[in-house]
Amino acid sequence: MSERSEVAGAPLALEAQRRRRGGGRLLGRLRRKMEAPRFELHLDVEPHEPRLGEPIRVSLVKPAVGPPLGLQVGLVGQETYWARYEDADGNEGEALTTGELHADWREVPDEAGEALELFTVPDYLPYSYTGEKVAFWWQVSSRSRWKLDEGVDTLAAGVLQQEANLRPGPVVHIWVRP
Amino acid sequence: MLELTLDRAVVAPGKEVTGTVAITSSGPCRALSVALRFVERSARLGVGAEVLAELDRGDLVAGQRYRFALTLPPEALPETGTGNLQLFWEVRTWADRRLAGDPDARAPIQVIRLRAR
Repeated sequence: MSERSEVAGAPLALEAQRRRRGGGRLLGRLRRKMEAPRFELHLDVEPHEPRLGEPIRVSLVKPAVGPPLGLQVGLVGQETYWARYEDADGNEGEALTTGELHADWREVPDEAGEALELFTVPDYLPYSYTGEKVAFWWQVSSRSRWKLDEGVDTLAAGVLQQEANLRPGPVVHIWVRP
Repeated sequence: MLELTLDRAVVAPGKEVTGTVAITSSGPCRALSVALRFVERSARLGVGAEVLAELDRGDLVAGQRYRFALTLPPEALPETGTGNLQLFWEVRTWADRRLAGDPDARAPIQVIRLRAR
């Protein structure tokens, strides 16, 4: 269940379009958007060290000017571990892998101001752990939709839709106890 | 070559894990040890915490039995895991042999999950 980009062919398609249409400026605009700083948002989490099954109160304060569009806040758990793999030539090996344990995303109203959400780490899932070779980790994350400028054509919109239609916002790491 | 028996397989943090190591066949050995350890198991094995004790030095003699008592750390974490990796406590005993594989025996223990009120 690891998170992976699902549009491996997109860069080549985009390059072909760019050649045909002289879209260098478009690529530049896309790149600037991708590398833009995270949006402004004050994210507060209480408690920072919850127990499994204990409610986590998340408070978000959005700026009065230009609040992020399509804001979402979520409780996300991930695991890092060594996984066996076999490549196309039949060679076997082991690779450090990150996978998703849990993702509970909630929509937040677009208006500026404060919003509250309650989350719970399900008690059947692992607590936070950082070990010699593996880890379980938890965080409260935020993300929002990209706001497309007028004039960015449907190609750009399509690529953003597939590849990165959500930009990451502030994150608060929490330590979940057993 | 080694047989491991625990008195109890369910233990609270801070309490003793006790048991017996029995030698089932004689053989060369440099040291016989036992360890209580927190294992991280995925495609690679890791050890998070370990409590060690040496039971004897010298060759193994069939029929010998060794009692042991190891204290589980007060902060010992309970077992947990997913389909990809598991964290758990186990007792392992092994005979350290020169230029040869070390015969061993293992037994998992379950740590009681304590909840603060």
